[in-house]
Amino acid sequence: MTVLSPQRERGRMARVFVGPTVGMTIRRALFFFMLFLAVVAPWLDDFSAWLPFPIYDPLRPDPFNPVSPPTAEHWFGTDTLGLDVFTRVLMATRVDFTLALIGVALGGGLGCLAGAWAAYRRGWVDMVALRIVEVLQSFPVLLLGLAMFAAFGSLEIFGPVDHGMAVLVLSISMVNFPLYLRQVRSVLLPLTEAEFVQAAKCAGLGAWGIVWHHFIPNARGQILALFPLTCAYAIQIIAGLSFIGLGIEPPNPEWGSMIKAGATLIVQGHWWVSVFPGAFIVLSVYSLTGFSARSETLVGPGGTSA
Amino acid sequence: MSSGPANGALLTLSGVEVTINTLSGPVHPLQGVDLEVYPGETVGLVGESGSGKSMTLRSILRLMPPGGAITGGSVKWQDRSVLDLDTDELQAYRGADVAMIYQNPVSALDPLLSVERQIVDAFKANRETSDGVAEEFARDALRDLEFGNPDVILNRYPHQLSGGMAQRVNIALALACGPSLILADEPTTGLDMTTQIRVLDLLEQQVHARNAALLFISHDLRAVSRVARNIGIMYAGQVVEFGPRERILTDPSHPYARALLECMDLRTGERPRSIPGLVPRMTEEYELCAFRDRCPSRMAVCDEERLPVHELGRRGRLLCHLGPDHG
Amino acid sequence: MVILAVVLLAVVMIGFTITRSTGTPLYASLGVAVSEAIIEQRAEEMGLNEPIVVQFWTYVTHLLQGDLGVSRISRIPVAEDIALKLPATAEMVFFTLAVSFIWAIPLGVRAGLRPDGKLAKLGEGMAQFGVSVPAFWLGLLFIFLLYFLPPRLPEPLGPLPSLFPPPLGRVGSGVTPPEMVTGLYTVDALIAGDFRLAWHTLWHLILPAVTLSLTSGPPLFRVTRSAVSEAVSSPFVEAAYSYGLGRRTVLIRDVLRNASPPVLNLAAMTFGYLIGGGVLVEVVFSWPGIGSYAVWGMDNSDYDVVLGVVLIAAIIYVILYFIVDLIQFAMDPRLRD
Ligand SMILES: Nc1ncnc2c1ncn2[C@@H]1O[C@H](COP(=O)(O)OP(=O)(O)O)[C@@H](O)[C@H]1O
Ligand SMILES: [Mg+2]
Repeated sequence: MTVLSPQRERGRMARVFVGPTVGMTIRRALFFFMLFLAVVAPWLDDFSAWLPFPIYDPLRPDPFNPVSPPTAEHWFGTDTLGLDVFTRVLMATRVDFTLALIGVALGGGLGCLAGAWAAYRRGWVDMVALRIVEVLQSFPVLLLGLAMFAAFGSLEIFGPVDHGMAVLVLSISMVNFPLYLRQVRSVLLPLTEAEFVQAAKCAGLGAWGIVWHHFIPNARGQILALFPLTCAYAIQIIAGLSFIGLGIEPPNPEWGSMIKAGATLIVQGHWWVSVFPGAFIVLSVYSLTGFSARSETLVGPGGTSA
Repeated sequence: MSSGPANGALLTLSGVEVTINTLSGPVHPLQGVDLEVYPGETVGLVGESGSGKSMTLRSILRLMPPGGAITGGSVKWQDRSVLDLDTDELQAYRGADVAMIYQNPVSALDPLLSVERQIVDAFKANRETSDGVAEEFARDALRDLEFGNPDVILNRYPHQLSGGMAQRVNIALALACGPSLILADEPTTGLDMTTQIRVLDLLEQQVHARNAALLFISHDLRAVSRVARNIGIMYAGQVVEFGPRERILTDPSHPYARALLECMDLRTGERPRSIPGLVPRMTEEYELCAFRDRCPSRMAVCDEERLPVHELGRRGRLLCHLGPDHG
Repeated sequence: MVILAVVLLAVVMIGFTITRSTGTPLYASLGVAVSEAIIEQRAEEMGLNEPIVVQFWTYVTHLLQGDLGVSRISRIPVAEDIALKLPATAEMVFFTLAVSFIWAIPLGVRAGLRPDGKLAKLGEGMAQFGVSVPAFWLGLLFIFLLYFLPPRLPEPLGPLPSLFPPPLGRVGSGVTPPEMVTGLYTVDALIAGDFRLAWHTLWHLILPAVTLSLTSGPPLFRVTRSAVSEAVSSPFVEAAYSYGLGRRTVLIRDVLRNASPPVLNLAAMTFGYLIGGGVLVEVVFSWPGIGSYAVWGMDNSDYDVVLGVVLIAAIIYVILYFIVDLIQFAMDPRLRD
């Protein structure tokens, strides 16, 4: 086994930050900036003296200053409860990113394993896997989420974990499972007959060993290409479900539920409560697509009509 | 009509240059092609794959790939300059004057249209006529091309044809246009040996029956010599030697033509010898002879001076410092 | 055909499992505060004590008879409600596709023919925008802009319904919908010969259709672009030119014909997808379709409603899948052998 030189390590790191075009590099920088904000959001309050923008408690209402338009004190204005939209949008970044990441990782991870397994075993295993994919993909994504909430509606099975968040994550997993399964399977199917796999079989490496050591590494490029796109998609789904009141309960900050809170205000001309969280969804999706060389939308018809 | 051929040539290419702009930079597949075709005659063009044979045919029809353009020289049809035709004139010229038969017979046919539709459309594109006449023509053409049951074939789709059948349909398509010159781009390359000979004979027979000229291209000198009275040898985007079949096959002057001939003559050996050295890269524009790195007769002058053009009689030409009369 | 059956069966099984596992049939119809005896009696009545296979059989036979259960709130059979609301959704989706056919497909064709042209860039920009923007938020923005941004649009056909309030729902308040024939208001208004009403209903359709089209059109644009660019660069197109066929003829006869199967395929899939996928846009524009109905059911923990909609949407999707196969079959002789 060759050991990677530090030089090459650095090269690899740089490739994450620097895209093939200037536009994509900028989009990636934007993403890392948002990611940074998401990570540090809870501690921003402690450093408010050094920050150029005023920061507040995202959950403490200010009854004396409801529905304030954007001002120097409240960059993005306040909502009906007097909550600072700017602080909440930042905190929501954290929530949306985290849920999307967990959901995609869970569903995608299982999808990868199942895809690799289907490609390895072929035959009826492959058949069954494909049928499962077809069934899952014949539900419009949001309705699948709705069905999940209906199914888990009265079950309290997640213990200490927030019920809404747990179902959201499960819904995201359900959407991603077939996407990854399909992708990984199609990459690996031609490999099952490849020499190195046959050799590994002869060497007595077990099925999971082969899947783990030979299949997954070969599909890594495809998986990594899919990852940012599915995360972007997941963010839209999470926001969409929260918009109809599923998942994250107000007053917890989340982009979709914030847009919902502002929906009634917007017809009175108070646009800021909805517009800023939505703009952050657009920014995060746009910046995430900067990681994908393919400009294709992966997710079937109507991909992102969440 | 300044330099227009008073000699009665149907088609005259002189110094044709083509440049294609690709993502990885410009490519120069044609670097000064000279060629004439006279009415009713068959001319063959031979060269290794990549030497610019197909591009020569495409420049005759002014059909350039994306990013490609004819950047120099002239293409004359009788005494009109093809490069100066406007869109309508060009459309009238294509098909009615010059039609082409493609290298890959199946992919040159639209997969979603029946054979009949394709022949009828080609027929009607080049004359004022009715569907009935066009269908009659299609049936007759297929019969001429030795299809036992034309009506069955007319209703078939390209994927239902074998390679040989598809190539005969392509010939019918070219004939349907009623051209005075047919360009055939390696029409037999993908076919098996017996089919090759059959298709070649049919092509020749049908072209002659219609008094059309044929410009036949192949990387296979044998196939070319079977049909062509005059043969040109292409190398790196130029016709390096041109002459009557007899001379080219027995006593060519260009070292590359000789090498080709040697490769072909080795019928006794197990596999044909190949010419040593690398096929030239067409990303370069050659100021000097492009063959000199592979040339067994390379001289000092080859590295210093541009290629001279030797005219050899009425229908002969040579691009080489050696000249026509060397050993 | 087999695949169709398998998918449908699986969809139904999932639906069944979900209803049973949540215990909704009982609590949904009785509420929680009832005695054991009553629950037991109701369970007996509803056949919940039968073996699971028998229950499943009953469920399927009911489904086959179009019985999707009864809404616990409105007490109206879910199937009836869906039949009433499906035309609203269908009309919205039809117009969405119509709008997409106006922008996404022409731009896609153009971009396939001239990849470096201005229109190709415009199309890619719109596609990029469409995939980044959440439809429900875009809908809200449109509503906001219509509210507060004069000048008002011109009025080609008599006085335009006031832009204030903006067009929410299928018709403005106080406007009587046309007599039901197809359930599509625009069509029904035209049938009734009421052009003002037709214009009115069309006006109400524009915003949701444009919103959904902008967000569901990008895949159509991209697929059209790649299908056309593949078709133009194929040898048979060059051959067609060489026979002296004109640009127009070649474009229609060869390029568009060969590019259309994947595009039609995706259009049909988009239609099927939007039947259930336009939920949020329905909510934003108060559109009384099956999406709004499902959300209403969700809000009231009326799970038969939700599952009814989910099943119908999935079934429509699968049936469209099948129809698409038939279309492909009709268009492409290679599939017929
Ligand atoms: N579309 C294209 N883009 C870039 N280069 C091309 C293209 N078509 C042909 N070429 C180049 O032009 C040269 C001549 O090609 P061609 O005329 O097809 O050769 P031949 O028919 O003799 O095999 C080759 O070097 C080829 O690589
Ligand atoms: Mg060629």
